[in-house]
Parts: sequence; structure tokens; C-alpha cells
Amino acid sequence: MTSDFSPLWSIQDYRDGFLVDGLSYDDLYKDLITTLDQDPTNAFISTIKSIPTKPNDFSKSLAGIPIAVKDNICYSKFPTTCASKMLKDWVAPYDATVVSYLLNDEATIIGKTNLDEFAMGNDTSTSFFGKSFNPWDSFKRFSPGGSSGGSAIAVTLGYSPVSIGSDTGGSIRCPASFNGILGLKPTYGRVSRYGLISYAHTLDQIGIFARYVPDLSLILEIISQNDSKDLTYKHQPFKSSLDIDNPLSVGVANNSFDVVPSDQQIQFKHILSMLEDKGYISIVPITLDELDILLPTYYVTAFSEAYSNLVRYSGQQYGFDAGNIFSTRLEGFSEEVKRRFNLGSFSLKTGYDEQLYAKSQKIRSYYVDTFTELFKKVDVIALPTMLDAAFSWDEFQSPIDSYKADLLTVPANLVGIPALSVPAGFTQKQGVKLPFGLQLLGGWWQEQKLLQIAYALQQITDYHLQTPPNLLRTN
Amino acid sequence: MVCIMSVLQQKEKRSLFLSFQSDLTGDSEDYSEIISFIERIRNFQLPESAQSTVFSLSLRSLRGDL
Repeated sequence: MTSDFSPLWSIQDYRDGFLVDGLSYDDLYKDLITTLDQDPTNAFISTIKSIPTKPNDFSKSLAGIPIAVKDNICYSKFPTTCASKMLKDWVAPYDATVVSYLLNDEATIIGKTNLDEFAMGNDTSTSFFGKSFNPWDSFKRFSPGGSSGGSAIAVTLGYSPVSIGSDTGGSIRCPASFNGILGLKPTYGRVSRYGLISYAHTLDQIGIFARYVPDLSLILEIISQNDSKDLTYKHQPFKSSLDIDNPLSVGVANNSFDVVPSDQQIQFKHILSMLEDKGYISIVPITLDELDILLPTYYVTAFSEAYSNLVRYSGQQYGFDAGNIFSTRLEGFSEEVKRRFNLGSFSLKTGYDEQLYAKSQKIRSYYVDTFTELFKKVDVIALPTMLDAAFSWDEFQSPIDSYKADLLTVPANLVGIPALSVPAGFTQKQGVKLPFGLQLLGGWWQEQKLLQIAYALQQITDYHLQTPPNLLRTN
Repeated sequence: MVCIMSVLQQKEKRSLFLSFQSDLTGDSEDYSEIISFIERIRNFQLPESAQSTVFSLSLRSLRGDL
């Protein structure tokens, strides 16, 4: 190790450490193994236990860089559990395409991160391996968000400069907002889903957490490379330029920020004004009505597709087996997964399918057209990422309260567009300083515009450099 | 009267179905609140042009390459 090692290091800092400053790979990972063993947030389901094989070529862009991967993405060196008893010992016989691309660039995968079981949730509380905790409160009273809570914590606490998650209805953007880091859900089809265990296959997308925009951009460039194994993948090379030559038009609906607490409304207006004053953006009023209907539309789609993806867990081919199919599901799935399984079966039942699943697809189709028209007028749409900062564990009284918290994240999944949560400030809840994020939505394949605005914001603010008070990695 | 019978039958069928499903998974939860929530889409009025679309959503439209 070098004496100036910092958990806030970017990928470039690690590279400089290895190539210029004599950072020892073995020492780095020896310390990291100890740190991960002592993680107080339960961010990981499995971690490295011995010093990994040293990269052959440190000139590769990710050589020796620690990266954490959500535990619903297959990697043959660790179990892939989906945080479920159903798959608790299952080891994939192959690597997901995103994992293969990271390994090709000689990244070091440090472990598989915790999530809501089968990614069905927004607080990382339903994991068979126990809930994860928001690192901003050392008393563990708040959720880190979900379902990719563990991957968000890994970046927040400096275990890795970037991490990989998946986003079906906000599962990257929600924890990014609650942890004060960047979280990108790319365009549907931008990144291969081969090796991602499906929750709702027309909504799922693999994405990225990072502290710094250039790191996020680099990882997107790497993992969005070609893949013939996923038929929904579309090859759209990504090479990001982060500087803004001409102001980008940002659509702001007059009522879209009214849904968050007043201090956050003021902060969102403040940072958008700052970006406009600096010449990075021009704010354009837009109309964005009836987004409320997208929430039940999302849940009908997600329940239905979840059902079709979960029926394979019968105990007969792989995973947990309690002797018969009924006991296997009864004991193998948690309450939330069983709930979605039953409601998905209901939504697809003959007689209801036209009224529910088919209707939900018509509504999606209508909103694809609506957003297509909006993106003819503006480059980007700005919204809050979530309705508030992190939830406390006792905040929701029923499942439906939790579902309603996804109001602002599900539209991007339903219409397939990219969306990025960017650290936008801090608020207080129960006396705890908690971060919150601004959400930027772009047209299909327009990730670059989102990253450009985020990069501009990181040039004029330091929200992304602030860290949890007590739990930050110290070695 | 016919209309009322039809609604009652539908509710009955729904109740029976969910009861059967619950037995399968050992889950006796009352889903009525969530079902009311998701059934809001049944009454959502789409514009005429969208109504006539039989099933226009495709993976291509999600990728914006219609």
C-alpha cells in the first residue's frame, strides 16, 4: 500500500497507484479482505477470502481495480444466490457477459453483493442473508435502498470505486440516491442481460454505481460491448465525451418536484439554476401528466413476468428442494416473492390477462409515444429520484406503501430509456444527515447527455465527495 | 340483474383463484388492497389511437428503434 491510499480513490487513482506510485496489489487485497470481513452494513453475501491472482497486464484499463457485483449476476467463482434460500448454494457454470468483459480488462471481482430476494424490493430487507444497512446512520435505522443496496454500499464505503447492479423499477437509482453516489440504468438493450437472473425481463437492465462520472462512463463503455447471447441486446457503441459544448435543454415539469419535502424542492431548484447560470443547461418547462398510472402498470407487468420467471424454481432441476414442488416454494421463497408469484399468476389468469397484463402493455406503448414526443423538445428530463431520502425500517406499514415509493423510477423502465441518479444534496431525518439524488432521464441511447450534465454538476458541487461519518473504510 | 350476477361471479372466481394460489404457497395473505391498486389500469382511458393498438409494445420499441 502507499501512504496516501484513500477509499475515495477513482479508477485512475488506482491505476496511478499501481503504475506510478508503487501500490502493492497483494497489500491492497490483504487489507481489503480484512475490511470486507468486518463490514458493518452486511453489504456482501460472499467475498474474496484469499489474495486474488495478480493481473498479467497492468496497462489494461481495469487491471487490479476492485469491483463488486450484485448477487443476481452469474460469476462462476462465487455462488449466485439472488439472496434466496432457493439458490443459496447454487454456483453458475458460466459468467455473465458483463462479468466476462470486466475480467477481460483484468478487473478483480471482490464479491457478490446483497439485494432484496430476486431483486424484488426497494430496501434490501428481504434477503435470505439478512438486511443491509444504510452507511449514513451508524445506528442502522435506515435502509440503503434497493434492490441493489449492497452494490451501492460497496462504492459508498470505498470498498470498490465502481460496482454492478440491476434495475427493474429503480433498483440502481434508489440506492444511489439513498447513498449519495451515481447510479445509472442504461437504455433497455444497451448492456447484455446474459447471465442476469431474470426478475421481469422486459424491464430488467444491468447498470452501474460509481462515485465519479468518468469512472461510470468507462465501465459503461466496457460492459456495453457486443453480445450475441442476448437477443434483446442492440450494439450501440458508447464512447463518452463529458464536456458540454452547447447548453443541453432540460425539461422540468412545473409540478414534478412538488412531491418531495420542501427543503429538497429548494435544493433541486438551486442546483438546476446553478447549472443554467454556468451555461451547461437551459431549462424548458414541460408537461408530464398522469405519471401515477405508470405505478400500477409497472406492478402488473413486473408481477406477471416475475411469475413466468419464478415457475422454474420447482426443486426439480436445481436449487433448494424440499421434496415436492409445494413445499419447495413454501419454504424456498420469502413472503414478498410469494406475494408477487401469486399476484403475477392472478394477472395472467384467463379472463384477467386482457384487463391487466395486455392493458399494461398498451399503456406502456402509449407512454413510449409520449416520451418520444417529449424528447423531440428537450435533451433531458429532470425529476427527483425518490420521494424522500432513505426510508427508516418502520416507515412502511404495508407492501403497497413500499410499492408507491417507486413512483418516479418506474417510468424509465416501462419505456426503456436511460436514467441516472446524481447526488444532489443532503437532508435530515430523525437527526441523521442523509443524501438524496436528482434523476436525469434521456432519450433512447442518450446516456452521454446524462453523464455530461452529471459531470458538470460534479465540477461545481462536492456532494459526491462527502462520506458517511463513522463507517468509511479506514484501511 | 345479469350485470350484477356477472360482477359477483367474477369476484367469486377471483376469490376462489387466490384461495387456491394461497394454498399452493401456504400464503394466506389478503391481497385485496394490492389488487384494487393494480386494477386501476382497467379504468384508465387511453386515447382512441392507443386503444386500437392490439399489442403494439415490442422489445424494439423499448430500445427506441421502431
